Amino acid sequence: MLHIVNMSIKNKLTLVIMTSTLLGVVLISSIFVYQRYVSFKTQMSSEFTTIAKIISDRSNAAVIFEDQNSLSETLASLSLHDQVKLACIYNLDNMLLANYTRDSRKYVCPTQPGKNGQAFSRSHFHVGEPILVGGETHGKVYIRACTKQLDKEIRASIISSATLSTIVILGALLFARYVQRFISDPLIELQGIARKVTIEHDFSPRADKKHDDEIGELVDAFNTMLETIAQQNIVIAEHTENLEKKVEARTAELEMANRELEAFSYSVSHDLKAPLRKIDGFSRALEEDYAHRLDEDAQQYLARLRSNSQKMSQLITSLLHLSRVTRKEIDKKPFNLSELAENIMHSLAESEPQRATRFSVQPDLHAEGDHKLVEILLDNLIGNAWKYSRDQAETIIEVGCIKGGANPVYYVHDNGCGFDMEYVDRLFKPFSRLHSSDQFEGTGIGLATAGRIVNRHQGKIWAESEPGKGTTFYFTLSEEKNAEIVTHEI
Amino acid sequence: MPSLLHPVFRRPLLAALLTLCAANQSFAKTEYDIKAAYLYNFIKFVSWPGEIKSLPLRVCLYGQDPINEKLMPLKDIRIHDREVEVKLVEDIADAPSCAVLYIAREQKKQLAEIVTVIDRSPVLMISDIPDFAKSGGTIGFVTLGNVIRFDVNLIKARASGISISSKLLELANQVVR
Repeated sequence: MLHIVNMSIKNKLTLVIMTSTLLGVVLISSIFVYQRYVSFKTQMSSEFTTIAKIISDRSNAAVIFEDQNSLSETLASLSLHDQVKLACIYNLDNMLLANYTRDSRKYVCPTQPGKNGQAFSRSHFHVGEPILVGGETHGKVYIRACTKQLDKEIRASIISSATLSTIVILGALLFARYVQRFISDPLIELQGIARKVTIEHDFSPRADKKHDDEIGELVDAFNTMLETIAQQNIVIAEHTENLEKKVEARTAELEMANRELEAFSYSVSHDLKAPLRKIDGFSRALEEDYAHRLDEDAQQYLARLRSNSQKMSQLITSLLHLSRVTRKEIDKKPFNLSELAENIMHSLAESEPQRATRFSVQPDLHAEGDHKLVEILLDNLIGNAWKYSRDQAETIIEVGCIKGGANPVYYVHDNGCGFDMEYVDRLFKPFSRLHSSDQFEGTGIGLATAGRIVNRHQGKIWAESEPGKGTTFYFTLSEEKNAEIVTHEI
Repeated sequence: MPSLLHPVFRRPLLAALLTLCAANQSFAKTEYDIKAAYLYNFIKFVSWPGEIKSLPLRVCLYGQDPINEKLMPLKDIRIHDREVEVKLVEDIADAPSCAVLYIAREQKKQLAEIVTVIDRSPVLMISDIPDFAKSGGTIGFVTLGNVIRFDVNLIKARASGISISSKLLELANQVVR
């Protein structure tokens, strides 16, 4: 069955047509031959029964008067009929009165006549008829005819129906060959084109529609599909090309702008530092050399001048940091993060020895990254913590790590004033501050720099805070997707 | 050929009667039995003009003859769906009303007179008088050696309106036409 299922449509069609034709032809031929057989048999039976009846009628007087010569003459007339091989007439005592035989060696009258009626044996037809006179039985006629003629007729009808069947089957085969072309040829063509499209990605060939049937519609649909695909391909190609060009142009523009901006900010910062240094230098000289000549107000102004110029210097340093962070190549190496944090905390504690502090750094935090940049990062984060917790009775700063997956999440926690999470978006943007300069001094560049350092490590930085309850900054130093999920374990 | 095995003897009733009647005439039994059976069978192949089924078919016997006894049993059977009546005729003038008239051999001399009386009446005249058929009778028995045959006078039969089956004619020894 699988064999048939996997056949080509061409062969399937031929098979279907041939099978139905064969079945039909065989059925009709069988019926025809059978009917011929039955009809010949009936005909033969009726013919020889009639002959037996005629003989019976013709010989009834002769039987009564036992005129054997007359009976023999009557039977002799049967020689005119080829098929009659044997005929016998018996009296009531089943005694043979007369007989006719075509071949006395082959055909001999039975000593006892059979029953009345007709019967077919293997090669003969037998008929027995009573001899009646005025309704009374006086004897019996028995006739045996050979069925050679019947066999011949049946053979002839088998041969003729077989010949006719063969002609019909050949005709059906030719018809099937002719008809299947209308179905399979377009399909084979479609298949060829589909294969060409698949292998060569060439959408230009079109199938040829030959007829207005379902296959014709299929061909149309196929062609339309190819047309649509080809057009869409052109559109997609154009789009891709445009997009690439646009991206290239934009990238170039952006790179240019970025370079210009960096160069500008670097040169501005750098160039601004020289005059500032001079302002500071001369202010200090003025303070040191001419302090005794200046009144108190002037000294106050001078102090302010110096403080502001220092603030400006810090601002410029920060800007330089920021631009350096942007331009510098990342040089990833393993380093001890705990040591770095402790150093920073130590110098901070030294700067304000009067502050009550409680620092805790998780020991042996071995991280991998650009040592110098991470130092700036920690400097900023711990500096912030130091700055915003100065109003607390005791400053608490913690540095540690949450071991989560392959990528550790580091954190810097303080018990400072905190901030409203509503403004968390502005946290890492340059020059944007959540506290006024009157409350806490600052440039607004520190966290932007921190954000950029983390970014350049493909890491992430985020914060959690609540006003009055302290702030925690988290960061990672390499790419990790589920870093945020892990923080909730704290 | 004709023998005791003749089909007519197979009819149990008739055979019994015939046997009973011919008890002590062993030679004549065979000949007269056969002739009686022949007569009975002749009737089957003969038809009379204007036959009426309700009337009996009258078989008349004229003159003394051994066959008379053999024919007596016929009165108990039906032929052509008619009852058979066997009657001895004293006066030949009664004969024209018979269907069959068997004339005894002893009436040979009165034959011409009988034929004249019967004339064209539909009477089947049967006898074993020699040359009976040629002398104006209808069917005459002839003995050829030890075989009993019969002659038919078709002219006479036609003249009296009696029709005889061709089958019977075929079996006849001689047919006068």
